[in-house]
Amino acid sequence: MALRRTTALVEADARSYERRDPPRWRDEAWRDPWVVADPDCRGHHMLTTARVPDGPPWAAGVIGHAWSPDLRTWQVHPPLTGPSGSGQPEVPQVVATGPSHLLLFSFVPHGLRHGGPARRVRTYFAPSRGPLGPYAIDRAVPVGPDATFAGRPIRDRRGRLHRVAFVNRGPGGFVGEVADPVPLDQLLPCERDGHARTAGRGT
Amino acid sequence: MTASTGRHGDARPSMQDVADAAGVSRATVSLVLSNTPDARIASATRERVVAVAEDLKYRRDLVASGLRRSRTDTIGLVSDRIATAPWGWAMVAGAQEAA
Repeated sequence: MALRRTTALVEADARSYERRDPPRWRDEAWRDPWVVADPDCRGHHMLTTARVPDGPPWAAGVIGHAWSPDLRTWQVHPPLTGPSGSGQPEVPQVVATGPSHLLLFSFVPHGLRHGGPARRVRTYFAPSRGPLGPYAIDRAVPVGPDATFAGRPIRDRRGRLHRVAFVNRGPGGFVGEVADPVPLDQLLPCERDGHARTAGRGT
Repeated sequence: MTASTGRHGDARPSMQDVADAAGVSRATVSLVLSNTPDARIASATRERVVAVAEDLKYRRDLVASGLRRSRTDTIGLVSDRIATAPWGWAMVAGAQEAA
């Protein structure tokens, strides 16, 4: 199959984001686009993995933001979050759960705010009232006890949310399989009226 | 997901990539990741190096490590019938046990 080189629809804007800049970081941070419709029907929003150009790179990972009126032309907007304390919050996704929204992403947290020493990459969530935040990404909490990567929320036929995720590594090394779906409300740290609690966590 | 290639078009992140992103020297990365005893490295630095190595999906290059240490931690068994001989499995098990 022949591959045709195409122009990117949207790229990181150097005013707000780091462009690929070795040796600061070996590869491009702007990736993993997740597109959601604007809640007021004003186009679409794109959330991305991104990094800001200021501060130490190992802490400067953010959730990037772009907006489009027609899904063809995109405007890059400032990040939706502050620095995460990690180099690259990966595979961001947003899902509505009743009155609130959850941002799911994967990263390697370190520092006291995340409750201890560095761990392996795993899926985390940060709650918010709307799809564009505000998200306290530096106070995100794990989605379940297991170290899964790129956890994705999906709805079953009855509308219940489940997490499907990639099992990156186990005790014996690389695993590389997709874990069975697990109801999301069983994995979040607390529950209220069937919805993930959105207020008061980690504040 | 992580992009596939780095600064030289290489797929694997190097120890230097980890050092650059963590803001430390390559020697520090080496000391932290090899758990060198008595290495005087601040716990915050150690934690950062471990996290960045995980973030970049860094894996030690076992071939390069073997060349450097003149030790591959690998045993080669050469035989013309090792897979089919009835005692083949016992030979492998015995060698592994002796190692």
